[in-house]
Amino acid sequence: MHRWLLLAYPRDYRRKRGPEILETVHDIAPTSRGARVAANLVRHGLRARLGRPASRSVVVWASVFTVACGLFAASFGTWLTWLGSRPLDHNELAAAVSQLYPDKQVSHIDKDDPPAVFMIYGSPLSWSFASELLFGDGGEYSLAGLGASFEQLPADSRPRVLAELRQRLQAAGWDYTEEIHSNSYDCIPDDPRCDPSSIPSNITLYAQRGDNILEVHINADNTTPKMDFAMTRSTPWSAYPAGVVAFVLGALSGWCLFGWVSRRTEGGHPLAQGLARFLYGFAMFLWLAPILLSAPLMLSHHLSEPHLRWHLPWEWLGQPTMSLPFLLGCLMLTLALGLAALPYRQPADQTLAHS
Amino acid sequence: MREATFLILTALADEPRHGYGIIQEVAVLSGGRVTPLPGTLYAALDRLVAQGLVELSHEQVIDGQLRRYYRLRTDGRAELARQTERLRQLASAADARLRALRPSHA
Repeated sequence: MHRWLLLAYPRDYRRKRGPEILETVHDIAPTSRGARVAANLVRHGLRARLGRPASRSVVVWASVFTVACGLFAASFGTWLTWLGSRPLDHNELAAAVSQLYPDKQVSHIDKDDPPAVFMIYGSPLSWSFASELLFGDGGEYSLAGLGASFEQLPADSRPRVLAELRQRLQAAGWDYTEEIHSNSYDCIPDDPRCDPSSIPSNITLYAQRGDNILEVHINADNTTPKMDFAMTRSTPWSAYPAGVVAFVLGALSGWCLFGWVSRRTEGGHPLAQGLARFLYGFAMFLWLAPILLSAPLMLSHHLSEPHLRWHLPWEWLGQPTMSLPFLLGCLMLTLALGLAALPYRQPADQTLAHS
Repeated sequence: MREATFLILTALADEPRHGYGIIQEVAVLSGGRVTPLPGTLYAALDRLVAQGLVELSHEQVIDGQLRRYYRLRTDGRAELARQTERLRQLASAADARLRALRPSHA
């Protein structure tokens, strides 16, 4: 097994040191735990592979970069599969609503198909939205949908509307979630005028049939329209394998890129090394801070109410809301790459691990 | 200098040793407290060789097993002496402080 673990070391190093290390591993086997020896070999092998055999933290930093690259690549991969998903069809929404409520006339229904899979402020993404995307409104970039609404409730009370809706959805072959009750607005808890029980509430229910997801809102009594529908697409099946493949490819690329920069800058001028570390550290802050802020919030939201579709992977990474820090991070990393690409003299006393 | 590195230099002070021999000697020197694993040992040896403190002495093949023996270079011996003196001074200073404290605690 340890022969395989030596693969963590660079090939040249394995050729020169491999047999000797294996003999020593064999010698200590009776008195040492195999898992500890294996972990030790992998740790030092990866350090040598990254060109910094004496560094205690280089593997951690490389792993951080690797995972970040994998996550962003997975997001990009799933985004591409979403772009190839079946376009929304307004006829399907009309058919679904009329099948659910054949005796009611809708007050509004979208009669045009959305021009893109993702929209921002009702339009496909274009350069004219660059400032919105970069300066805080990136959250508006979301899946396109089709809408329909009733001015009046199709029954005399909201509980009855909900009960009938469930029956009709079931009869029409829709799978639906538990309903979600949410307040129309919030008030300040310490304010004496604040009485949460008096706040009108909205009811939301999600249903799925095939690759269509129907979001039904039964709105508070003081809201018009009283009931509305939004149709969106479910996650295309190809997004899952595409996400996994893109994660693996992105992570591998990230690891190789980090290793290359690490080897190129090790032994270079101290100023260049310091600058490369600063650029890397700042870039990771800009990449990871949005993830660390967004992912827990998204997880909390995801667990708090039923979902027929996972939120889009880039939303878990804080994108594109935080696209400006992401792009600045990319710029920092590009500068670090440029720094590593500069020609420099290899130190004369190069160790085995560097070769 | 890390403790493990100091112990490796010390293990090589009297005679050339191979990898497993160094591990055994370090364990004896530290009273069993420090037992370097192979990955750690060879990373340290690489570093010491690169610093010119240790060098390859000779190789032996016994029953098909490759044994590479390492020994201290002159610079390694001088570095070991310097580190030993530094540790002795530190130990003496700490010992003096502890002696000074003892009467007040008695």
